[in-house]
Amino acid sequence: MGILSLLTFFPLIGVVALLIMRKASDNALKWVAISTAIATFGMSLVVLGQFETGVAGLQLIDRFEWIEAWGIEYHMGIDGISILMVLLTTFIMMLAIPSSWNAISSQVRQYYIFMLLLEVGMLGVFLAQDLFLFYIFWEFTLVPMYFLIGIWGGKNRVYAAIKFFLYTMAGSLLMLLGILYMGITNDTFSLPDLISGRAAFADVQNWLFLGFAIAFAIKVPIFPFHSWLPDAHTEAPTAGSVILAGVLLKMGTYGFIRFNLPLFPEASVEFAPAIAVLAIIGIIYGAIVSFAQKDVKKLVAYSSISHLGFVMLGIFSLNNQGIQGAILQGVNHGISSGALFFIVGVLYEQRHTREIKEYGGVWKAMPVFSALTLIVTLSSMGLPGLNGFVGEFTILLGSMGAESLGASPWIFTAFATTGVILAAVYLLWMFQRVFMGPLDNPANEKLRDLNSGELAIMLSFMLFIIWIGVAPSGFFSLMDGTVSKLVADIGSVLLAGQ
Amino acid sequence: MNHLVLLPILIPFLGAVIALFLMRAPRWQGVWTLGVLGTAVTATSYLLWTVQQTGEPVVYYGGGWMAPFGIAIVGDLLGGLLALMSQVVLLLGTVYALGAKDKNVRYPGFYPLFLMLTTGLTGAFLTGDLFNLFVFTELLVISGTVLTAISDDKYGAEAAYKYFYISLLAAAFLLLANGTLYVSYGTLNLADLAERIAQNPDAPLLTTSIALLMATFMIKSAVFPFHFWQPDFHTAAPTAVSAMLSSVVVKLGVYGFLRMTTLLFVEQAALIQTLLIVLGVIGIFFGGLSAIGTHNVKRMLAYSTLAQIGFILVGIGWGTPLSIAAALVFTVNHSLIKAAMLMLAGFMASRASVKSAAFAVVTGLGKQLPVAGVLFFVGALALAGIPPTSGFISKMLLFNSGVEATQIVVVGLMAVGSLATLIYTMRAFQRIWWEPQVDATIKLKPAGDKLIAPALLIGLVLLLGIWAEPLIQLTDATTVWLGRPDLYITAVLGGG
Repeated sequence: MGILSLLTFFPLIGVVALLIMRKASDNALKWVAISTAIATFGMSLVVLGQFETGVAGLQLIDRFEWIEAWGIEYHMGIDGISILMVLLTTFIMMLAIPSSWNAISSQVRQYYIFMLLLEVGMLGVFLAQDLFLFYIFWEFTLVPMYFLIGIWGGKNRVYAAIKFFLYTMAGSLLMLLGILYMGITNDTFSLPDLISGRAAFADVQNWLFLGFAIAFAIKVPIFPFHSWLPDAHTEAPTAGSVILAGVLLKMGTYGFIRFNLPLFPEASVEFAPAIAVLAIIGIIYGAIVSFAQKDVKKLVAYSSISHLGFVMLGIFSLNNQGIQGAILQGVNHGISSGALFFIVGVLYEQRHTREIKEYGGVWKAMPVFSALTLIVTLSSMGLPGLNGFVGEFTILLGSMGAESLGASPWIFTAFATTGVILAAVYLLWMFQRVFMGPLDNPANEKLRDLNSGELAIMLSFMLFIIWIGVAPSGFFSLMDGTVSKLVADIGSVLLAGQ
Repeated sequence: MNHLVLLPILIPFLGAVIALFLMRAPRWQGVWTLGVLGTAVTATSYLLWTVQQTGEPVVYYGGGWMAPFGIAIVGDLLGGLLALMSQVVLLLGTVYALGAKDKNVRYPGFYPLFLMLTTGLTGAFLTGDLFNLFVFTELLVISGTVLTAISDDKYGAEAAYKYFYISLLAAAFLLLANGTLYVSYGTLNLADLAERIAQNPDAPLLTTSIALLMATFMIKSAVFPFHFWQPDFHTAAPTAVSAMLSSVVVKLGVYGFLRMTTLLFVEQAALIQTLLIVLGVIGIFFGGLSAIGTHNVKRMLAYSTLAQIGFILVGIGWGTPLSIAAALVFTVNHSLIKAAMLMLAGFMASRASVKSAAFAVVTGLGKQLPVAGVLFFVGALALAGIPPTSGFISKMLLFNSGVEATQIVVVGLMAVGSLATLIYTMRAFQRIWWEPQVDATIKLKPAGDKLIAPALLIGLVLLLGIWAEPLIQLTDATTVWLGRPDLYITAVLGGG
């Protein structure tokens, strides 16, 4: 068993421990979960240590026959596209699990079991290189999330849970059909083999592209497949929203880069303008709807639609800057909106409301918290020097020079840029209404500032917000080899088409 | 050696006779039944293993007369596989009955009838003769009717009547089919019939016979529009029995369709297959939508069987090696899943204040039954075909075969249908485990049925989801075997 399998299934040790400790106190259970998450993050750093930058292909491969009769393999591998996603997963998980310390008081054992199972599923999604195996992990992530929303969520949790489940299932069925089709034409489900043998299904690649694209578009979510997201995000418990925004949505964008682009390059080129248009609609629509929200959590949820529009625009610029920017922006969004959901959670835990009008002047009661929140807000709207700027700037640069977006790609860039401005408007306005101004609601006077645990979590977010903002080159160099090869591959298709 | 094929039928039959003598000790009767079925499962496994190793069916000729004159019992891969599947589920059904609080399991005839049901079902799968199929089916029907009539449920008798009358109709169809085929071909031995039908496909009554057999098996598997008795029947029967009826007993029709399309009417199969696809798709939608609309967990599961049988029929209808293998995997997995789910529904009813699986009664009970919740959820995932359960393997293989057969439209319809499965199973789960109790003052009964049997079944469902290879290999071999009806004919008739 290689290091990647070990990493993926490592959280199961925590699950087993939680199951065995029948009589342990809730605090002991929490510590088991936290230490498992920290250890998993540590293991992902070991993987990072063994990862060779600049190599285009898969590394640290773990591969053997699984269901021989059907050509199904157990095949795990990592490359420049997945490494950051894996690190993001373990990092966000390490922060999300302790963030539930006070918030979850009922069925604690089950809660942490589902959190750790979710981590297994997400790591598997980012590491599986066999489409069948990928699909299993993909579906598997639904189950723990369904429970996290359905049991520990807000008032409307049952509705939100089933909506989330059904939407994603509906999408993934189309993907399953696509996977099966390629399995039949090529007698394998292995991704590298399918990519090299893609000529076999090139004739129907538009359909296959759509099958995969719809599954991923629902996950991202791209307008008009987004309507599950506000419900799921708002109803999920804080840690659930953090993971949902931080990692689960990235499974969609990752899917586009991992599967759609290399498997169906011609179709990718063909559909690029259409998807870019939807991405732009998402950017502007998400921003406008965010602007209108009265609930902080909903505002952050809708802002995800806008931010992920940027990521999609980057991907379908189909060039080096665009895709690298998209991957990095995926990480940035994970960190920034993860942090924003955490911030909403901190407020909600004390006041049990998320209505913006209930707050105001919070800075006076919680100065440290408010100062840190300001940095997160600025990062989310893409202020230079912080992580969001690097990602959005690279994406805009990529879209500007995108051959895939027709003769005048700058139109896309121009529209997308309005999204940056709108983000500044709705985020700053939210910040102003919640944190600035007079402290006139007496209920807010008793708010306590961050405790040491919360501070540690906020500072961890802060570390990467600033690190990526100031010195992003290390992050880009991780993905450079793989993305360059992918882009060269698509570039040859683009050239052939002209 | 050839007597080996008799054991799966004779063991439960003799077991039933002996069980009658234990009437005064229902407990011992139950333990005896468990032992008998355990032995039967061992014998059937050995039979299946032998058949797979030698690649030849085991044939027994009654009274020493060679076929087509003597009555043949034929243990081939298909019959053996379905017999083993049924007996495993029936064995677990006995385990459930032993741990059940129902009054009817104390009824002195319960276990002997249960064993007779086993005999009938196993015999129907293993007989090589159309008339014997009639006899074994009747045995099955009579046992099933009585087992339902003695149910604790007040609608038991009504459901039993309905089942009995519809089965009489099926019996009439089957008998008429026997008659028309005998008139046309002078034999009822399946192998002999197959050979003669192939030689003379223009017999005037052939189409009639096909129609009659179709109708018979449609009733047996409760295929739309012959389904109306099934939800009543499966809901009212005692849990241990309804878990058998809705899982393995309904597979009799599936078996019949497989024999029709791969052995008896190979030349005429195209029309039958088209019909099966149409009926299957109707079943998927009708069953799925009806299941969404039900007010009772057991009834929901009964309608779900309608839909699931629909999936299997489509697989048989496509008729490619891949799709038949997929239909077989689906058949086996569905039996295990549905039996487990019905047992869980029965378990909940046994703990509820009123013995009923109606949503009005069981909503909100789940909070106090966490173990059943885990089992029910895994079962729900399996039914909806979500990994890592065996249900996913079934669905995957079936869709795969459909894509391979370029039946994209039907596959699309099936995909929509499978979403319906997800809707009704999840809704049931949410109602029972997540929603508050309708009347919080009503307390659960302190004890109810035991969860061992459904837990074992769900364990199997997970095992077959992760380690699917053996079942796939077996069904692949079965499909290859079904693709060579000439070998079946030679094996039974000897040399030809």
